[in-house]
Amino acid sequence: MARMDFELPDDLKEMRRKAREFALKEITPEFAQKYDREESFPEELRKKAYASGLVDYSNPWSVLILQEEFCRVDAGTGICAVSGYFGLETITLFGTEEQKAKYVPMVTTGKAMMGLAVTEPSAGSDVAGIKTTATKAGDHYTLNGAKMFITNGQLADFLVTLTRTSPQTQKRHHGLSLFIVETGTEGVTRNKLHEKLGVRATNTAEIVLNDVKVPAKNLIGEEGKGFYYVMTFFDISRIYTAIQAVGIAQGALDRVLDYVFAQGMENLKEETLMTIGEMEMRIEAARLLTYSAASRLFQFNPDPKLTSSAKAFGSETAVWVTEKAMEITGLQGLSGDLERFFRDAKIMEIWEGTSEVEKLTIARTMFREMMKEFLGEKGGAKA
Amino acid sequence: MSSEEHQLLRSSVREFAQKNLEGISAKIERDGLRPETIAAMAAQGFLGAYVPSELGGTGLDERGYMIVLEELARVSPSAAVRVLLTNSLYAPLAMATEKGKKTLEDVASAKVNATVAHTCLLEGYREQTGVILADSRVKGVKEFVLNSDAGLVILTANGTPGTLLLVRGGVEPVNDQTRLGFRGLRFSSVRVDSGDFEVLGENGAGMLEGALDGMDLEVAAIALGITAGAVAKAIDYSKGRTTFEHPLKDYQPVAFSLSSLKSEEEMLRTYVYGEGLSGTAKVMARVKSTQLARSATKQALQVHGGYGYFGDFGVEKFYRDAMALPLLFSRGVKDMQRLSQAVFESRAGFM
Repeated sequence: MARMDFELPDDLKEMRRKAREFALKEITPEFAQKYDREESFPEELRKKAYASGLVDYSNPWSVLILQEEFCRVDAGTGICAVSGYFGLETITLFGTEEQKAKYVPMVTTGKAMMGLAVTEPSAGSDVAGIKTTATKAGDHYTLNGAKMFITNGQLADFLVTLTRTSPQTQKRHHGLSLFIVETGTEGVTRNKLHEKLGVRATNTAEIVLNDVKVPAKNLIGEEGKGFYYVMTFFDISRIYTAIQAVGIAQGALDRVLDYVFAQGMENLKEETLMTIGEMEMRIEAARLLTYSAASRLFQFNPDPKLTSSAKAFGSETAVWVTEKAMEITGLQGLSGDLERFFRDAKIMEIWEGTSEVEKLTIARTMFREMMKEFLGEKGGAKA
Repeated sequence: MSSEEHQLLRSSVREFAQKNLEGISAKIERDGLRPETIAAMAAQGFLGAYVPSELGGTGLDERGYMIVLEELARVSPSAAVRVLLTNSLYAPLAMATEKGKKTLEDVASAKVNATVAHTCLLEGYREQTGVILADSRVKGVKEFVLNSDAGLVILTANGTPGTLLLVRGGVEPVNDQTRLGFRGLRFSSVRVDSGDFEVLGENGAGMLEGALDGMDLEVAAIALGITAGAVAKAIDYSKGRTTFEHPLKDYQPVAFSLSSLKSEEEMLRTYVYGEGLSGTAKVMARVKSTQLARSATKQALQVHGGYGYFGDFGVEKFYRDAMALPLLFSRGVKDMQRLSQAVFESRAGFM
């Protein structure tokens, strides 16, 4: 008889144990605090994570669990350790064989880093509103424009970059194309952005493209389809963001439990007990929602409703849990690890689609499905 | 002071904050409040705003003092907290003795920096070593001191409730702490080794508690300032920022949420500055204002999108400070118990 099984298989449980062990050993509170303060990238941690064999791009479940366990210890450095190939699915799904051969191994082995350059100074949620242009001239395209808040931006060896290849028409999401831009190319300028609220170890940069010549063979997929490729990618990356948020929330709860335990359980009042109960309840719900969305995605059958729900609910859970954790732990949280969790959590509601965008996506997907069903019924009646 | 005078005061503090703090508000977060800024604040009479004029202060009434706090917090919550520390914690405690009173003139004029180690009252405080008074000398380490590079420090010695001391000299900030908010002020432990001190009272914790509970409206004023600063930034931003070819403000979720927060801000302001508030009303003002500051700063940051997450836009500091304010100056559970006691007219909410 077919059945739903909410247990992770043994190999993933073992993988989770290893990931946690690695994170606790390598990302000490002092380590996390140092990179947070200095806003610097923990390159040696990233190398160690790859050397340990934990970062296994070929096994998406393993990557998911890894991100969860790393963020549970520290989101800033944890994300740095595993996000060196951020944006890669745009190439693996839509790139040419030549592109895959050239660019995939160098980032999945950790030798090189990449990033995805979509957001611009004046276009965030509104992806189709980007202004960067790519103009074809013979065997290359010339890129001009600026990209904003690009993760790994300053460190990446190449950036998958969204551009406009034909003028904006009524259909705004038409005419956009993705290119692989090697960052050593003339005309690429990168400025690191400072003073983030949280995830401060992660590298965030502004990229300026000034007459950057990119070979035509670096076009990903078909010209004009960039918007769809990026949206497909977001359906993947949002799952990882969701699990990062779950990790942060779990890490905050871990610390609250330690705190309460050290205080002596006999002093516990109902207000705190109930809050802890609610933290657990929300975190487990967010985790299951994320695993469920991941399960659909990893079987190549993503459900944007589920994905966006996991992303929005996960990040709101992270923010809520860290807020409550601060209230419970007071001065200890304010001056210790927890305040970083509180600062880190907020980005989850913003990057990879704000909570607002996620909720709109959920509703619009529902209506699209309703419409399909409605039209299907009508079609059926005719036939 | 008349309401015209209050109005005038409000515009002059606002002008001061615009001129002297707005441009450097990000720098204050980075490097702390500089001596020249403190001096400018002292010259305006802010550092001794609520200190009686016969003791060298400005002698504003409570409402006037709250206006100063609110307007400074609107631009730099750190600056407001600096003023709060001297006027609402240091001054009332120092006034316990004649010698203490004599220090106020120098504190108000910023000749000397003063602070109070009050955090021993708060959730999460754990004293590792403590300060001991023996053989006419004060020695030890006090943890979690805000504005810790002060020449005058009021602290408790010899455990709890302890003796409240005003220590002059021989105080050194050590072990800077990570901190979420009020980054304009140093936050560290202080090492004390001094023979120059004054006993302010024997029930140290009780005296600190009195001062902390006595500043309900002041905390509410700072929370209102944080709210106002953050909401104003979000409103400005959503007028200018375009997404999907419309200004943000055209979208219901943005317009409605900010308008609703603005309403709460205005209503609370009317309440907080109301005539003759009872003790209970003051606790209510503190509790609701600090809650509003947290929800308002969160939404203000969210409206700014990615930009909100960066120091440059000056909104993330409000988010941090809105959380730090109640953690450092309110006593979450104790405040709610005070409130419940008043509401139920008997001991309530202790299980």
